[in-house]
Amino acid sequence: MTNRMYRGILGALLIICLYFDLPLLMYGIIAVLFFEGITNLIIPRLIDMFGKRFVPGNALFEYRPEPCSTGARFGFESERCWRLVVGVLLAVTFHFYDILWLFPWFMAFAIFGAGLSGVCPVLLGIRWVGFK
Amino acid sequence: MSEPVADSHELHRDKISFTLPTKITGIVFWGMVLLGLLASVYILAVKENELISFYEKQALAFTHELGNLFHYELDLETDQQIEKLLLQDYSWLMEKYDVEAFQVDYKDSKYVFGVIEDNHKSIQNQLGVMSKEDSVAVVTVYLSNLDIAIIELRKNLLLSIGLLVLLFGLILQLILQRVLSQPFMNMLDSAEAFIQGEVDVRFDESRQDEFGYLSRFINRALLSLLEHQHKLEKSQDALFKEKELAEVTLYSIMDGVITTSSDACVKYMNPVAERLTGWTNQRARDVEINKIIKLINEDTCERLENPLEKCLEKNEIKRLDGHSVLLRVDGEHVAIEVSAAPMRNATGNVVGAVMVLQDVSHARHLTRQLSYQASHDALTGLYNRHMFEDYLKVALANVKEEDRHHALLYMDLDQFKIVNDTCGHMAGDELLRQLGALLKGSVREGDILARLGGDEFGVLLEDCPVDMAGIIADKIRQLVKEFRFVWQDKTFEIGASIGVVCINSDNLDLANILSEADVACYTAKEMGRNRVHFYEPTDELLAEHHGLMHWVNIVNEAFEADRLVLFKQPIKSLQGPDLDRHCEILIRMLDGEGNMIQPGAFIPAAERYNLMPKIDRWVIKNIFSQLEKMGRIDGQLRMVAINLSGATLADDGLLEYIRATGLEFGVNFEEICFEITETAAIGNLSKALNLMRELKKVGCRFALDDFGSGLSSFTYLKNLPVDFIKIDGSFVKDMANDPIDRAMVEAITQVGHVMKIKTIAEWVEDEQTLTYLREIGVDYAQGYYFGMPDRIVEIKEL
Repeated sequence: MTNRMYRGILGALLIICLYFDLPLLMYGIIAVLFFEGITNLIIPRLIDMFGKRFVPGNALFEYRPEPCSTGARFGFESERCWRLVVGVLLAVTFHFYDILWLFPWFMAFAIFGAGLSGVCPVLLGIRWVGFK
Repeated sequence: MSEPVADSHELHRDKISFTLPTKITGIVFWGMVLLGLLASVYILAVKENELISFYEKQALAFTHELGNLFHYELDLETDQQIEKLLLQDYSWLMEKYDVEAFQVDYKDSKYVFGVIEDNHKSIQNQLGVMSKEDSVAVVTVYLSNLDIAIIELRKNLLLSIGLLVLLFGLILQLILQRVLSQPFMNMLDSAEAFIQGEVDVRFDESRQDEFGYLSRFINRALLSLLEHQHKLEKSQDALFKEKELAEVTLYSIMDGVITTSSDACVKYMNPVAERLTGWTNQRARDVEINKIIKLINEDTCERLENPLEKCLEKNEIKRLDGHSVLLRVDGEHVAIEVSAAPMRNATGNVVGAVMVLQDVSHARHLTRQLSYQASHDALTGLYNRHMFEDYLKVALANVKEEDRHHALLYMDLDQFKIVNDTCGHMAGDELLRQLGALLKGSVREGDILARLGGDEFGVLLEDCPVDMAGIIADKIRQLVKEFRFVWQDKTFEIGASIGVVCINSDNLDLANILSEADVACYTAKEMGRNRVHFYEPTDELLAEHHGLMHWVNIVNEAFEADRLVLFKQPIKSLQGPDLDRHCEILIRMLDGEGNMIQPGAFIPAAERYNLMPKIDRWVIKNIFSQLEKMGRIDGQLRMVAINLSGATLADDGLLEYIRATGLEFGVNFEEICFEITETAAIGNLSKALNLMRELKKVGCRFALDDFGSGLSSFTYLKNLPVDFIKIDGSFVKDMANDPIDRAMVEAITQVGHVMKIKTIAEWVEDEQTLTYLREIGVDYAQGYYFGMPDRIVEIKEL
């Protein structure tokens, strides 16, 4: 599973829970995002890891993370940071939904669009700042 | 190899097909999202206002219709009537205007219709009541929840705009895929096909957009590239041919060739260099030259500097020849000559060097052989006279400079001639060989032992006092005396006469020392052989021998002063009319005062000191030059006999000299007869035979002089192609009185006739001898009986 696909699914889920007023799902999503960001157990990576671990005959599987890009200023991974940023933004805007009702919608469509297009401005910005 | 390229191509294709349009779509999509957001905000604001306005209109309409109902009841003059009116059912009206509830405030009373909830939207309107007091009623209309309506409106609107934007994004991606990615991929396919070697592939120029323009531009670039490539291929072909030619040349060359880089690392070795060094070209590549080429001096075994390093350092050609030897990888030595030259590029910078190795093993072996032959006697392996004299010069020099004392032994074998004459030259050679080995073991280490010629040996005893020289000389004499030479069934006892000369600061002339040693040796012989004699200037015997040497100077002076004169002695025919006039040429010498000197006085000295070839050549030239005049004067001259000595027969250039001189003076060679003595012919048998055969081809004839005086006359007579036998005068002179001499002459004559060789009797001095000779059948006679020798110059004068 790629991060792009993950973003597509996440965006779709956000749109669904906004449209059908499913606050529990929204909180669940926010919780998952925080979990990923804090523990670095990112879902696409976990899926890849478990998918490969259970490949028959591949008993000596050892997960190897992708090599770090050389231009990074911080050791913190950009995908991990993205999840924390999105989680915080979602939590804040959803909490003040009456005032900031537009932002969750905007974020949902933006994340969904990022999944479709493969271009995520927030992620680009995070990398530009210096996260690896 | 094509599969990985194809795989790579597919990989790139996938990567590009996913990223490029998606990125463009993404960028546009994000723009659309932003625009959609702004549009949503605007539309939502408008829609909300419209919704609020709609609600207000609904409330006003409701109030208005409610007022109309009230005005229909115009008799509302009493409160009871009004209350009655207000208590009527207005639900139909509320449904009509989608009103959830309404409240009428009239005077102090409130009248509520329907159920009022907190989230209902309330709108107040005034309603005039036609009554006595013309009072006013306030109607508050409660409509359904506006917020929920707005939220629903927002949801629907945002979802619609979002889906629209998404749909737009997908459509845009498809369009971009078609207008951007597809032509791009087509161009990529064309480029890939071109890379794969399909040089006829061109980019699609039919498009009228930027891709078409780019295709036309790239196609022009490709055309230019192909033209350039074609030129490049042509020049590459030419270069390859040149390279091949150069490599074939290097491969075929007989010398070893090594090319190196500018840092002296090997780049190429031809097969000869591989053979010489023992390294293969592949193994030697990029190896430092000093690890491959190790040069040493063949005499001192000292390491020599590689000329290539010097060449690179000085930027000039360097050579190393003479005594250089290459040390091969297997430890073998190869004599080589090395040269190294820098290689420069077009700008003149040194880019490397080429080293040429020439295998000179054979040449150096020949040189050593020649050097050995020039300094050693081939028969005995001892030094020859030339080398001995060189050592003697060095010894003389160090006597002068270092005040050292040396001694010279001059040794002549006794009875050597007997071995030679009785057993032949092979036996004589073997004797000399064995004696050489014997003598080598008898001298001290460092002493110079040489064969000076014939049966003469010389020993240079360095740093040897007189008494020690005497001891060594006597030891040698004793050794030779005790030596027994065995040849077939014969045993010979040999002796040695040794002359000793001391070399000190008083005696430093080379010729003088050799002369003194010769004189001392001669004296030892004269004193009875097999003895050692020290040179003494006062020795009377030596003084006598000096007389022989004195003649050498006189002969040389006579040559320079042209005091040699020629005589002729007639040879008469005994068996027929004396038509064949023959004569023998004789030589005399005039002293400084014009007195005639007989040949017996100076010929022995000339023979001993090797002057005879010079004299014989002089005679030949003078006779050839005067032969025509001699024939004209005599009229019937048929043959002129010229004597050749043994030393002259050994002269390698004699044959050519006779031919050239004869041609120069137009000599009829059939009129020339060369007389050679039996001893001279035997002493130089092979050369004599060769000379006789060659000169007989041009018509010359040969006479064997002094026949009968030797020991093996008849043996050699069979092998010598002579025309005349000159019977030795000692047999002829007394034959009238000595029957043995007569029998000898008769025997020789008979043998000669059987072999069809004419005989000439010498020393005929009286009539009786002549008579006997005629009876025996001798063909010619010569002697004082027929006349004394006449000087040829006198004939000329006649």
